[in-house]
Amino acid sequence: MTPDAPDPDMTAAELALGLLDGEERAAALRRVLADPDFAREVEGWRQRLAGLFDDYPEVAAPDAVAERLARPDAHTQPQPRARSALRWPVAAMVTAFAAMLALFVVLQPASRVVGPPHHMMVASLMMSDKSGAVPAMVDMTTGEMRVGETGMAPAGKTAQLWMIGGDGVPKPMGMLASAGPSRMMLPMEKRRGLKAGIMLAVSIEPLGGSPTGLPTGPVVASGKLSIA
Amino acid sequence: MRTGQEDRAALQDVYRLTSAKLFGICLRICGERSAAEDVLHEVYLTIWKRAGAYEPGRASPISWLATIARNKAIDWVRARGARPSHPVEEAALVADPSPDQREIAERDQESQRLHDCLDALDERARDAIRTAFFDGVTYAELAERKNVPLGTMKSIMRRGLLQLRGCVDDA
Repeated sequence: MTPDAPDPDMTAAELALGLLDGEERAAALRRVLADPDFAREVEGWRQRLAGLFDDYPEVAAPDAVAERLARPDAHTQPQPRARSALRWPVAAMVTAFAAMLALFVVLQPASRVVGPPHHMMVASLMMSDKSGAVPAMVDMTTGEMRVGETGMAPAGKTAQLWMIGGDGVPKPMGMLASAGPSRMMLPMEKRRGLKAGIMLAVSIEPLGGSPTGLPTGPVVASGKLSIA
Repeated sequence: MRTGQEDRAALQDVYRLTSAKLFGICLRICGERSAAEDVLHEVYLTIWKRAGAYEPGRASPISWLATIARNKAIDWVRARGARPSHPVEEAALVADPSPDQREIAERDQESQRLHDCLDALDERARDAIRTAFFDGVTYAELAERKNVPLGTMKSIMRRGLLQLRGCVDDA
């Protein structure tokens, strides 16, 4: 380090880290709005430093927070109770986001790959009894489909996954594992029908799957696909 | 047909999977439980409202959430004016985070590269960057904590960040 050399300009990193305050911070924030290159640099630093989040220790959150969030009115402030048209896409995003996050957390350590981004579709399959949701994700590039752990089928039965497109006719996609997350490969012909808004559903069938090619047992979970 | 109940179930999934990490962040930066609880609550309301702003591919979902939590906690501390002195019972939580073996094993490649590059910095620069990140402090607070003049602190930080960027981006 040469003591006399001027400091390098690290404003983007300083803003991302939160080191700046007062007028310096205000000036940097104005620069984010005015200068797209600078804004990208700030975002680049956020990503560069994101690995440090790994080192924060986890601390069980107090029940009080979950209880406050579970109150029926918790998420609608400052919105009125009636669902406006605008809330729809946001709510759908939360569901898709939950699905993707669940897969990230549950399946990622074993399956992280580095390479070009893949075109992904996700769905959150809501249990019919509202007891929870199961994430589903399709890698449209490779055809790999993964569904989170379900445990939906009773002994002697199997859980079968279906897609229901615009024609309203369920098409079989595969059997879900009786324990643990499921992984299956979708052939191109099945992948082609997958679009945002397509409904995925899980029904309970005899071992080996529905004998008729259509769901015969109760639908225990369903959700719409969206682009991740 | 979607219902409010379904939306809440989805949010509960997000909460179940992430709240321990996010609470850890809030607690570390706020330094007191009651404030960290309030901030955590606000973080999830924000996530709920802003889920549509999440862009897959730019950052992993968990680091997007962690960034929101860190920024909210910093906002809380700064709005309050002064940082609280840490209560004794939180002492373990304010010790410098040192990841255990399991956490190290779960690091992805990018995170590992960042940690390797931080290890390659001289100790003062590494310590400055880690403290700034974990505690969300300003230059002025950092200089005071490390007991060095503000100008010296900025120099250490800027040179360290420059070296870090070179290392991370070249690897």
